[in-house]
Amino acid sequence: MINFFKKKEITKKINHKLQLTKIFPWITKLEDNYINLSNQDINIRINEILDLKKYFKTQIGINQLLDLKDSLVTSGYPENAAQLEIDFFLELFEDDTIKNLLFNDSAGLHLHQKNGYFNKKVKVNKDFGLIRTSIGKVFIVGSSNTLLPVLTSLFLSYIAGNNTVVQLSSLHVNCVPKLIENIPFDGSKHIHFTNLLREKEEDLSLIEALVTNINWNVINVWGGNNSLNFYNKIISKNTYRPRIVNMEPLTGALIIQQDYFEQNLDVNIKNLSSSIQIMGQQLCSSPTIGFLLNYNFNQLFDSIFENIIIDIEQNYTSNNSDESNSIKLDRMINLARDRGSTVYTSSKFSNNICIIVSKNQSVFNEYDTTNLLNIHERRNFIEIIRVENFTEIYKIINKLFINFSYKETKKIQTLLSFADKTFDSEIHQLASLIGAYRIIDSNYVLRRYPMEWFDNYNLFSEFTNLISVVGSKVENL
Amino acid sequence: MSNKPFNGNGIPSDLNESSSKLYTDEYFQLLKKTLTAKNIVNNSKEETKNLQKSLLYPYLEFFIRNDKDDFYKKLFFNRGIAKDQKGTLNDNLELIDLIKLRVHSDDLRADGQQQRLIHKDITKEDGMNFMSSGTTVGTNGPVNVFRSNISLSLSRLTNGNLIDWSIGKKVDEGETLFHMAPEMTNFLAFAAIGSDFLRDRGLGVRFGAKVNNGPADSTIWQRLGPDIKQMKSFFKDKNPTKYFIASGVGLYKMFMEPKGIKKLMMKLALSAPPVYLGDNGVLMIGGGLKRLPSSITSLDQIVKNTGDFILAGDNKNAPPAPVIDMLGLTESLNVFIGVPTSPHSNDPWIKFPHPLTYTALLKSPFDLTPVENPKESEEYLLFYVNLMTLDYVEAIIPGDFVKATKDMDSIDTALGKRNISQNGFIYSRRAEQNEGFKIREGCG
Repeated sequence: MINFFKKKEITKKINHKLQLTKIFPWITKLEDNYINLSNQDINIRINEILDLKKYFKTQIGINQLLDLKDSLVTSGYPENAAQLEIDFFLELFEDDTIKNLLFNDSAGLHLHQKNGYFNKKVKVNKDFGLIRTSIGKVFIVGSSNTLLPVLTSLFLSYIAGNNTVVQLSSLHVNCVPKLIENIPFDGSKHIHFTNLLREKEEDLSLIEALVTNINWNVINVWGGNNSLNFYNKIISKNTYRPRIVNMEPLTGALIIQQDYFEQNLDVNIKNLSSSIQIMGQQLCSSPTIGFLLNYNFNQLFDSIFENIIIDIEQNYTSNNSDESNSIKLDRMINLARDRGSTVYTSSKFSNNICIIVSKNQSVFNEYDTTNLLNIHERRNFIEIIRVENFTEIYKIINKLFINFSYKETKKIQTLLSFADKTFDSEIHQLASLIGAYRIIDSNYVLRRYPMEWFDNYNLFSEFTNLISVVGSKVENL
Repeated sequence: MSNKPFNGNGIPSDLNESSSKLYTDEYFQLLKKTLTAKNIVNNSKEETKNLQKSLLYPYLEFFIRNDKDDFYKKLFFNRGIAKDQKGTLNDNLELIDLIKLRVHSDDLRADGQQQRLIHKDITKEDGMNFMSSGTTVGTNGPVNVFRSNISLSLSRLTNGNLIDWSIGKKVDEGETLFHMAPEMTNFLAFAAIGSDFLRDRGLGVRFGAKVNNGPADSTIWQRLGPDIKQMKSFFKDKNPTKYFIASGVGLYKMFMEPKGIKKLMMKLALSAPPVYLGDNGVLMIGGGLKRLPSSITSLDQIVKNTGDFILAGDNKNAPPAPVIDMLGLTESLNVFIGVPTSPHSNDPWIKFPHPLTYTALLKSPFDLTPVENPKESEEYLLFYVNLMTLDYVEAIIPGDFVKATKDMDSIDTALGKRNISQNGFIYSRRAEQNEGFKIREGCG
């Protein structure tokens, strides 16, 4: 009986493998395409991408972007978040952005710049040189919280000269292919979308077949814990052992030095409120926990938090679709009150905007509970903990990710600092201890500087193959 | 020997409240006096409001005075109704401030109530635990609420007030049949409190179901079966005042589900339907729609279909017995009572709270602000505070959506006109699982 089922399962898998080329005809052309792309000068593709900047200023281009925005809004994005996605997407095609991405000093890519062009062969010295080439076949998995990362990966992989296959979140499965396939560039021939939905059982096995049977060179996964667990499990079955670039679910922490914050109060309130609110607080850099240093209960203390809430109110978009989370939120807020934290909520929008100020530790330090929301289920909500020093911050963060609220999150990606320079070295040390990837001011919660690495990955480097040329072979580079 | 009345089950006959440490407490004595002087459900709405206002500070002070480990002193401060952690209450508190003390019913699951109880060293003999069915998945256990004997002694008075008001006379004679098993009075609040009160008033109490033997891993719900003997004896009883207390499921299984030969066998076994409840007979119902076929979308359907089989009289020409629908919640010491209604009536089933149950309708799960003037027919979230529950601050958001009624001072019922002491509401729905509350068995 058991053997019978095993046989059936194997047959099913083989069928999937055979089905793949029928469902995805582009699979048969991957090798030929790769050779063509590999022989093409990378600068042709770079110019193609730079030309898109002009295209998106034409009426057709503008209409396409409006369509994309409408699709995002229809699928549940707040309108301002959708607009931000579009704005930052357009920045991708700016000369400076491309230059910083492709000739990034911090990744050593500046070696490839010659007279403004990308030079794939570099003679470093008489005994050592480099050839940077496309890597081959790249499979990219997009997340649902934001569109920009998957689009950045997709364009960088194409520029690098790869066949690029993209598995999108169900929120983007229609709008992104529609955009990419209709913009005037050669990339649409080399970028393929699976159009599969991980939520559908039939599609799930096809995704598994795609991931495990093709000799991918890189698999780049942007996603939450569930998604990463799923893909990493099936990637391990791929005997070609692709390079895995996991972009983990991360979050941000806020550092406030009260006396510094008060010096420029109005501006800081505005900047902090927008940092909390931007993209529904769902970015890996969105502050979800904060630490208050040099605090004193002066006359301003309450008004700081009250004014942050008032500022958030001005751009508040209702998200009243989930009664479940609202009730849990109320239980969570009551729990904080009962544990002695000070709770600030909105007089206009009630619990839906909430700042909790706790003392010395998080009041949500349960490991497993039914009355807490995790950070992905909350919006406009932050717990700020009063601490005496950075050692306390380290201790709290060190234990944070076993708590229910943070269980699905790997670590702190970003330290958002509202502190003066006397705190800098301690913030650097804290970032080092907790393994944070970024220390930023409020301008960079959503925005990334093009030279930044993505969570310790330089994506362009990951999408290329670096060949070392050594000794006498350097001469002809 | 057990002093529990129903084959050793249920609330003890003698609650022995005078042995409680709280017996001499001024708030208990105040409540006792309030509840014994007259039936306050006959009060006007103005009188109810004034009574509730007058009890606000004594109620809160009761918990400060009898606090365990300073729980309520801290809670009142943290929730913004006290000036300090020593229990100095804010000045000028209003009833509306009670929303600050809210407890969501999910907070009473498993041992959630434990920290809120004021009692130290209380034994099992001093009270009982009432529980929801525990069938809801994804929670940390059933709603589990301890009630001390002294609170139960007040519930006899308050629930008695409600039934007397609804029926329109002091209920102190007659026969009752609970369509449930006596063992269920050990944990099911509605069964326990209802049967206790009626027996205490001197009525005969029978149970129409029994718990059969079954596999060790089966639940009491799975082993329930009819107690034909008890039912038959009730149906045959010639008493002119009989109260038949059943769930929607019970009525459905007895009067709607059996067809053909099964129906005939039922008739032979029970000599029913029809059921004759005597001239003063009333059908009382409660419970939700769980375990009913999907074609049944409201209890109203069942009552309409069974009305002609349950008669207020002793012959086939008798009129259908009036129906009183009650909302009983594990986490409420009091029921919310309906008024006698013809089973064929299309009037909405309005539920009324006892004057010691302060009730407010909240805007929505997104904004838990009490609405001062709720609009008729609009849906709100129910919140109530039982000012007679002495074991913990029973300020509950049970997760039930209700619709507001028009502002009325009286209501016409199948048994005459009743004044209204506090606005009622029409039950609308349990919030669905993905809407924040876990669907609970048997309530609603």
